Amino acid sequence: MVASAPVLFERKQVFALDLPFAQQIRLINHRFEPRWRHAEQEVTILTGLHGDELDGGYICHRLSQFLQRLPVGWRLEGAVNLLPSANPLAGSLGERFVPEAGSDLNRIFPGDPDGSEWERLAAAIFAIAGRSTACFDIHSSNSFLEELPQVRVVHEPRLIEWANCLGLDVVWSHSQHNWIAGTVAQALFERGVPALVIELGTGRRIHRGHCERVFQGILQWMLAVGVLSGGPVVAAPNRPLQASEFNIVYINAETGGLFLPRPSLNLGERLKRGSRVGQVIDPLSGQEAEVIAPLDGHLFTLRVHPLVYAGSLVARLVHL
Amino acid sequence: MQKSLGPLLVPFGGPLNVAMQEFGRGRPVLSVVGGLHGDAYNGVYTCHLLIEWLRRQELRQGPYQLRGKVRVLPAVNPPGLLLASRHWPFDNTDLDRVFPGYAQGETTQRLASWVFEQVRHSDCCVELHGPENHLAEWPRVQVYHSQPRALDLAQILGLPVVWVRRRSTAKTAHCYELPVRTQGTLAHNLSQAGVDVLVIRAGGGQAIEPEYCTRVFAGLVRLMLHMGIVLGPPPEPPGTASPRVVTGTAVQPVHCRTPGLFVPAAVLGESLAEGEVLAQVVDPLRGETLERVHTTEPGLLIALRTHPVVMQGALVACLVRDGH
Repeated sequence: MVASAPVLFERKQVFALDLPFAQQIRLINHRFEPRWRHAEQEVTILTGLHGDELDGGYICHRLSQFLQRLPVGWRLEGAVNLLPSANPLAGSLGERFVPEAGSDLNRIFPGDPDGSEWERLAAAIFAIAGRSTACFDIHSSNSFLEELPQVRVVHEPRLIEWANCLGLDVVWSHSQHNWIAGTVAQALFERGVPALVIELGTGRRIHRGHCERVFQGILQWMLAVGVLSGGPVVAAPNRPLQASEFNIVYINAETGGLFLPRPSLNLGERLKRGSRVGQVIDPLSGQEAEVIAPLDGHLFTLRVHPLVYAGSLVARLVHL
Repeated sequence: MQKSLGPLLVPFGGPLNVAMQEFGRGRPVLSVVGGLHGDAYNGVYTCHLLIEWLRRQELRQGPYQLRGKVRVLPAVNPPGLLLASRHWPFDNTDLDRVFPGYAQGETTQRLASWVFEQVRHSDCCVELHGPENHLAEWPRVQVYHSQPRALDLAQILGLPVVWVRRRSTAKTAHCYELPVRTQGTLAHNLSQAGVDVLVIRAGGGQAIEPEYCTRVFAGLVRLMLHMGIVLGPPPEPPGTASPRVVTGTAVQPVHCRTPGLFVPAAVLGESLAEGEVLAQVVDPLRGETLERVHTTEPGLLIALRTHPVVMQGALVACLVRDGH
């Protein structure tokens, strides 16, 4: 154990898997505990279930550095687990998943300690997350879309309150039956552990501005629920946009081609019904198809990969 | 003795290990390199057979005596082999196009540089390759025309076909050798450094074919006996008494004319008569046979397509013309 003032910090290997050709994957947990009191609360922050989603690695790094060197006046009251790379093999390649390592790791939770190698990895992650009093699972978008920092939760009052506490741009609640089976969040919810899924940025990129807001948001949440104490009360930012299954507007390309967003378009912008989002062009035929907002709404998802097929998602709005 | 490259640091993991085994001492030196491409498992298994055998001889558990040095690099592209990806998985680099490498360069250049340093002072280097262009190969060894000593060594291996290749590939596209850039290959760079290079291909990719591996392994023992690296009796199974030594002009490439699914009807090593059907191309959407691919001359089938999807004009087989 590395003793840093009032905090016990340990970098623990919690799972290892030997692979052929002398390779190995190791699941590392940054474990923090208060030194002078028994921790009643325990929060797990995990990321990298998909190896192409890298913002969470940076956010965990920020959190770990902060907790290792708590500023004067701050105190750690609860235990914190940080899993900065939950799927190390896919992470080392920057791939969402590697077919040889099973398919999507975030579809086999809660895993099985006696199952296949990847079910055992999932079970090792779940063993930590499942004994927590709250869990954050941080995702980036894929390489196609950029997302404003947002949090997705099951539609329950306490979870929505916690989600709002992060102060991100959007809180998107889903009914429980619409949660994807096999995800860590769904398996935790079944177990009775509150799970918050944070989504931000783009795959294979780190968006430092978005990351900083999520880092600050998690600190703010920790202060609010008492995992941390003594920090300054952060002025509550604007209340996040409240999204549910009924007020999200999906805008899809109607033809194949190259998507060009309107030059001045920015994420977070409020769009009027009928305003231009961009166009899809076909350089071979010379055709240009306008992409129009069908309703008023706040833009929180925008396509960054120019190639589109008919039906490709180019934007999402929260309609209020 | 095991040595390994290090440290080649990768994200979210430990240092990457690239293994090398060394047996014996002094000269002559034979190097054997496998697993440059992540789909070339036959070569990796052949290295396994060789390492196991050499260890037994070193412990005096066999009838052979070591008189020179053998260096074996069984798996040069570990992440590729782990993921069955031909190229280096992170950035899709073909490792066999970045030689001689560069120790201060990209990851693959550093790896290539390390490999090149290990093998460049050999008297002979054997590369165990997987298939190219989706063709499974009747066991053959390829040598450069400019290396007459390598041609002698190649025949000692006792594999059925010895392919003599001219270094300039610019105008050989009409036959089997595709006009690929070879400047970055290990074989090209070793030959420039004066090392006799033998490139062996046997079987397909993505699988281990023990029969082919055993034949190549026995060939390597014959090579070591001939070079004076080991002393002892000839190995089993015996090699082909007189391998077919061919050049590009002796090889008849066979292309299909129609796109579709390629269904082979012949096997490697088979002697085919003129006009014999060696495969068909079918359209599974309409349930029709589009083409019967046949030979135009009698010959020995030395390469046959394994991947079922063919484009119009794809190379699907190669024969060595009879009389060559």
